[in-house]
Amino acid sequence: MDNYQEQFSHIYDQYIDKIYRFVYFKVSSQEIAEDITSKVFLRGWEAFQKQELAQRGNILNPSAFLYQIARNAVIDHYRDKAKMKVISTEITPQIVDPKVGLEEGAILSSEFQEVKLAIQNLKQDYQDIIICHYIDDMNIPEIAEIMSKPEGTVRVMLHRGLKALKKEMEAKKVIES
Amino acid sequence: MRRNSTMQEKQLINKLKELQQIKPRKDWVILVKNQIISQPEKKQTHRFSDFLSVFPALVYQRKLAYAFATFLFVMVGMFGLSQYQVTEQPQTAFVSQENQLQNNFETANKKLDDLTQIVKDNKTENIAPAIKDFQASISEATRSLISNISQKNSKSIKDIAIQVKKIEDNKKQLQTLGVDLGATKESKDLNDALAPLVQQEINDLEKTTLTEDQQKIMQEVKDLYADGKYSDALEGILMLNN
Repeated sequence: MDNYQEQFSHIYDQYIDKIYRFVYFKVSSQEIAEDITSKVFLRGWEAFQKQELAQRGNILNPSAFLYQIARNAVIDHYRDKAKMKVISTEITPQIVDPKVGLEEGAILSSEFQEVKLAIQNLKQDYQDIIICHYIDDMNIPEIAEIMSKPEGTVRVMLHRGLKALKKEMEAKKVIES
Repeated sequence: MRRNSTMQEKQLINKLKELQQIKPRKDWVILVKNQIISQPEKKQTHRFSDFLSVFPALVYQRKLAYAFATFLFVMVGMFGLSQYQVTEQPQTAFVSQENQLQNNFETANKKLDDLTQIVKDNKTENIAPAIKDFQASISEATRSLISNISQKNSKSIKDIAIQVKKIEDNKKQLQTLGVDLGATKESKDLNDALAPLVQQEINDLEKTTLTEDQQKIMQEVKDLYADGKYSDALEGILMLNN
């Protein structure tokens, strides 16, 4: 295996779980998440090859690089399928992932499913910040770089996003009760 | 009230943190990695498409078209089409992907045989190139295997398992002669490439009725799969299929 293949292989191992999770919380099924995640890494690999060929250098921040591709890929997915807000998860809370694996099925209790659906009902920026910070364990400067926003703005958005999520979950509980 | 709200926020954050447990399927992760890394370089495709893109533009160049037509008339007039003898073209061998896979594994085994012979003959200066040759052939076989799996070509698992077992046996023989090929990157890549195949086979076997002995082997196969020892698991599957 060439040197740059090895480099990308390390990047892949390091970020595959995180990018998958990032995508998974934004789409409706495991199948779509897998499809988009593989496209993200394929685009990443192509860009990495070009970079390698052009400069013989490395992508300086693979994290920001991959998350940026993932954000765009999710946007493209909804644009292509025109699914954005066509079916509100609030109206149909019973919609669940039809192809959940055994392991995942065990983890995805109704409570987790509830959080996932609530995240999907947030504004996209709030979704990104909450997933990156609380689920993918990224710090504020890293998120600021991915989103091309000042750190202060990200902090405020994180606070507002969490509030909005809490509101979403409370609203769901009211509907259910 | 404020304290209550903070508590709720903490609970919510804890719930979010628990979602870190969600991970992609292991076999999918390996399959995608192998597929992506084995992608050919884009650069060459670009060059070729750039070259092809010149043709549509040329078609509309009248002067060039007339010149080409005149040239053809002159050539045909001078020599006549019948003057051209059709030379025998070399026969192109069309090998199906499945046969290609089989051939690649056989080549890898052949290279391993050669290497064993070189070690036995103590031709030390030839050992390093022979190892390199073997590793290149294993990489080629791995690429064919990945391509077969991704294109859902159902090459008989038995054939692949036999070839992989042969490779493992040959390696053990080499080890007794003092050459250890066990932990090379190529071997690891081959092992990883087998993961989706083994997973599929386990799924299929689970749908069949197994005897008590077969169930024991099946459990061993599953344990080996969980440990990431896919080529060993494949050996177990071979036993179950026999």
